[in-house]
Amino acid sequence: MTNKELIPILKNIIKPYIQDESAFENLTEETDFINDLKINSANLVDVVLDVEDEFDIEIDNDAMEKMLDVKNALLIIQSKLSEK
Amino acid sequence: MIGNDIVDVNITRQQINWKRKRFLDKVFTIEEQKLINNTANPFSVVWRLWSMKESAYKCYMQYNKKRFFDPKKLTCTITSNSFGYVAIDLLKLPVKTVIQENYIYSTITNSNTENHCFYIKNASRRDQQEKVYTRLKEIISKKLSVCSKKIDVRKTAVGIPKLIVNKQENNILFSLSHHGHYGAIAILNQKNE
Repeated sequence: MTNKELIPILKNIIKPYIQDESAFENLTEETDFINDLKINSANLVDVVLDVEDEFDIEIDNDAMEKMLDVKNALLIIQSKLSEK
Repeated sequence: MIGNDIVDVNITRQQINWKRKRFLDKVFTIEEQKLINNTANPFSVVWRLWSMKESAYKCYMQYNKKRFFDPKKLTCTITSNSFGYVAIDLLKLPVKTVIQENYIYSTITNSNTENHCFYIKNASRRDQQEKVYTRLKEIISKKLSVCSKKIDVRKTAVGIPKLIVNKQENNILFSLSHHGHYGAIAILNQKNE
């Protein structure tokens, strides 16, 4: 899948947790989950779990460590999908 | 060393399903999960440990250039009902936790740290931050005998708030936290205060 195809799926996953509507509407690869979307760090765990469920991948803590923005989330998803 | 974290118990109960499959595995080590499983009140232990990790993370980020999201890198040891330690990298930080009916509050323990926990009436996220900043400015204004209007708060690249007083960076160490209806401020006083 391309990033272009992945973005709407990712947006759907993070939507329930966002606390800044305008940052979500103007989402780009640079958008930061905590600083821009104001996702609670406990909900960030949910995001990781939801991504794992959605794509049937496993995101170990080493990968999760960097998953703080859209760009890195896409990189991790792509990387784990290519391992399948 | 300074770092704190407050958890609004009611909001957390509603919003976070810590019992969800694999949630605990992403956040807690085997030892920590034993603590959670061997208690009559796992909810309390989960959020005590979480707030301990957050406090330690905030402290660590005062000296670190890069953010990271790996709660298992911060490992908790409980020594009593209120005290424990969090190990991260080369640091071993003593942390005190207060468990109240409506909030759980952790703070890096230090005899020179003053802690303020307070209720925030309107829990919208923007209001939470505003109320905490206002309260911080009131406290600092009294400490420095400076008008609150001359006090500003700015965040570093990794999200650590710093004080700007009369347009100059002030090095009073402090930590802020807010969640739901609760805000908290920890300030490290100079020894001769």
